[in-house]
Amino acid sequence: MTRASKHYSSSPFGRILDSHVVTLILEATKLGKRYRHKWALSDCTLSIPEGHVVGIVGPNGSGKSTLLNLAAGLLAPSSGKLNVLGGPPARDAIVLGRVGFVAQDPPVFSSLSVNDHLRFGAHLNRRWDTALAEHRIEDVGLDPKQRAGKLSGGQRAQLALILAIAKHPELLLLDEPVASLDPLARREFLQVLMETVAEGQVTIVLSSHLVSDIERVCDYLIVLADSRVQVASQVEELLSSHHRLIGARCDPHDYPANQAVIDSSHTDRQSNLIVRSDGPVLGESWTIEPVSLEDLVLAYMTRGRHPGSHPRNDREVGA
Amino acid sequence: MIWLTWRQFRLQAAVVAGVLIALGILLALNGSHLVHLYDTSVATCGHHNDCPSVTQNFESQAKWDHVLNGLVLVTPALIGVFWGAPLVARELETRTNWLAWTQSVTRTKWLVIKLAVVGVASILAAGLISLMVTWWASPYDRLLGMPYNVFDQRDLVPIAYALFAFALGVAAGALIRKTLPAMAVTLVGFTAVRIAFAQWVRQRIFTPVHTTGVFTLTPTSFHITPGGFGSRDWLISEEVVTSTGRIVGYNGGIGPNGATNFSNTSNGVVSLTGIGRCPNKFPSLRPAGSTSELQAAEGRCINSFHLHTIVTYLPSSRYWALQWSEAAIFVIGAVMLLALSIWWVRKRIA
Repeated sequence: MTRASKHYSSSPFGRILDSHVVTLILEATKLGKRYRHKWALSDCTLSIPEGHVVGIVGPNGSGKSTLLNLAAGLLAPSSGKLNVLGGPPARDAIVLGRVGFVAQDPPVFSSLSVNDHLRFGAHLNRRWDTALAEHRIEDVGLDPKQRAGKLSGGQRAQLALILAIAKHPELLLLDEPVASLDPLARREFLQVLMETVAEGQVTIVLSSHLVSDIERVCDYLIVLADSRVQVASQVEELLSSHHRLIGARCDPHDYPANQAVIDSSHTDRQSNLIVRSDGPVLGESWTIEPVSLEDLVLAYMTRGRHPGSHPRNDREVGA
Repeated sequence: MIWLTWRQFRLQAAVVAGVLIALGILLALNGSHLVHLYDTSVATCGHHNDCPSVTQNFESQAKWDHVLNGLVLVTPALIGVFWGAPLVARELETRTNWLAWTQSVTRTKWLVIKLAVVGVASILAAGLISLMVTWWASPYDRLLGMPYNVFDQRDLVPIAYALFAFALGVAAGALIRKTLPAMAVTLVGFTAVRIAFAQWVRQRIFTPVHTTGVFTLTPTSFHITPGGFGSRDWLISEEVVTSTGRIVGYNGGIGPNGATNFSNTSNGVVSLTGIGRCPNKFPSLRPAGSTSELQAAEGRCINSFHLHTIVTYLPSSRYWALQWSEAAIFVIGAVMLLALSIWWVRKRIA
C-alpha cells in the first residue's frame, strides 16, 4: 500500500498544481456546512482549476447544492475555508459580477416578463451583454412579453441560464440544471451551455445526481458522496487510470498489490474489481477491461455510502 | 437596483397614490367648505347669540371626523403589514433574493435600496394622510378645543408610527421568512406597542404639572376644578386625598371610578366608604327627606372631611414638544429595527 499511497498523494491533479500550470478558480479547505445539528457538507477539500467544465456528481443529499450555494455566497460556511476567484465568495460587487449562478429549480420574478428579467440583469450588473441575452432568448424561443410566472420549468431554467451567462461570468455555477427538464429541454439547455463554453473563457461547475446527464459536457469530475469528496480529477485521467479487473473469486488479501480497489463485487466464481492505478496492473490472473464513467462514478458513490469499510477520500487512501 | 425595487413596488405605489389623490381632492373641497362655515358661523356666533345652533350645525357638517381619524390611526398599521412585512419575506419565500444576490449587487445594497425606496414611500403616504386630515379637521379641532384627544391622529406622530410599523414589518419578515406570519406579527406587535405607549409611556415623557383644590360636593357639582388647569390641557389624573394625604378616590370622585359611595342609614348617620361617618347630620330628614335636601346634607358631610383634589396634567403649551418627542422615540425604534434587519440579512440569512 505504500507505493499506492504515494501515487494518490501526488495525483495527476496535484502535479498540475505543483507546476503552476493552472490557477484555481475555486478552492475549499476542510469546508463544512451545518444546518442545526445535521452536517450537509463536512470536511470538503477540493480544488477546481480554471477553464474546465466540472461536473459534481453525487446522490441526493450528498451536499452538492450546499457546496454550490456556498460558492455563490448564498450560504456561509460553518467550518473550514472557501476561496472563489482568490478570496471569500461574494465578497464584493465585482466578484459577484464575475460569478454566474443558476439555482436548482431556478427562481424567477413571477410577475415580471421575460424582457423585464433582461432589464433586471442589465440594471444589476456592471458587465452585461444585451445583444447576447436577446439573441439567446430568441434562439430558445422565449416570448419576451411572457410573464415569467407562466413559463414552464424548462423555460425558467433557460431564462435563468441566459441571465447568468449574459454577464459574461468567469465562473458559472449550475445546481442540478437539467434535473427538472424533459429530454428535449435538457438537450437544448446543454446546447446553450456548450455554446457558452465555445464562446469564451469560462469555468463551469455543474451538479447532477446522474453522471449520464452531464457526461457529454464535462471534462472534469468530482464525486461527492456522504458529504465528502470521493474523487476529483479530469475525466480523461479518470478513464485512463481506472480499470475493471475480472478474475477468479478471491479475498481482499489477494487483490493486486499496486492498485487501490474502489469497489468490488463477487459472484460464486468471479471477483469483479474497479481499481485505480497509474502504472501497469500487476497480477496476470486478472482480465483488464476499461471502465465506463458511469460505472466509475457508481463505484465511488458506493464507497462513499459505506464509510469506514474503505478509505474515505484520496488523501486518506494510504493512511 | 433602484429600477428593480421600483419595478416590484410601482403597482402598489400607484394604487396608494391614486387613493391619496382622490382623498386629497375630496378633503380639499369639503375642508374649504368647513373652514368657511367655521369662520362665518362658529367664530362669530358670540355676536349673533346663536352659538348652540350654529355649533350643532357645524358638528353635523363635520361628520367625516370619525372615519378620517380612524384612517390616520390604521394607516401606519397597513403600511407595516402590506409594505413592510412582505418586503423581505416575499423574496425569501420565492427565493427571488437569490436572483438579485447573484447579480453584481451585494445583499446590503439590495436591502438598503429596498428600504430607502419603500421607506420613503411610507413616510410620504402617512405624512400626506396626516397632513390632509389635520388640515381638514382643524376648524373642528378648534371648536372641540381638546388637542390631546386627537394627539395620535394629527401632525407628526402618524408619520413616525408609519416608519416604525414599516421597520417592524421588515424585521418580522426577515426573521420569520414567511409573508403571512410576518404580516400577522407586525399587526399584533405594532398595535401592542402603540397601546402600551399611549397607556404607560406618553404621560411620562414630560414631568406633568400638579395643582390642588378643595374637594367640595354641592348638589350641582361633585368637585371644583383647581386653578391653573384648563380644558385644552391633558388631564392625566385627578386624585382625591384626605387631609392626611391618603388617596381615597381617583378620576375626581371617591372610590376607584369617580363615584361617591354614600350609605345613608335610617338613624341619620351618613357614612362615606373608606373615609368616615357623619353622625346625625340630618336625623329629621330620614327617611322621608327630599332628594335635594339629602344631597345638601351629603355635601355638608363630605365638606366636613376637608378633602382635596390633586389634578395632574400636561399643559397645552407642551403639545408640540410632546409631538416631537413621541415622534423621535418611534423613529429611533424604527432605525434600530432597520439596523437589525440589515444585520440579519447580511449575517444570518444563509
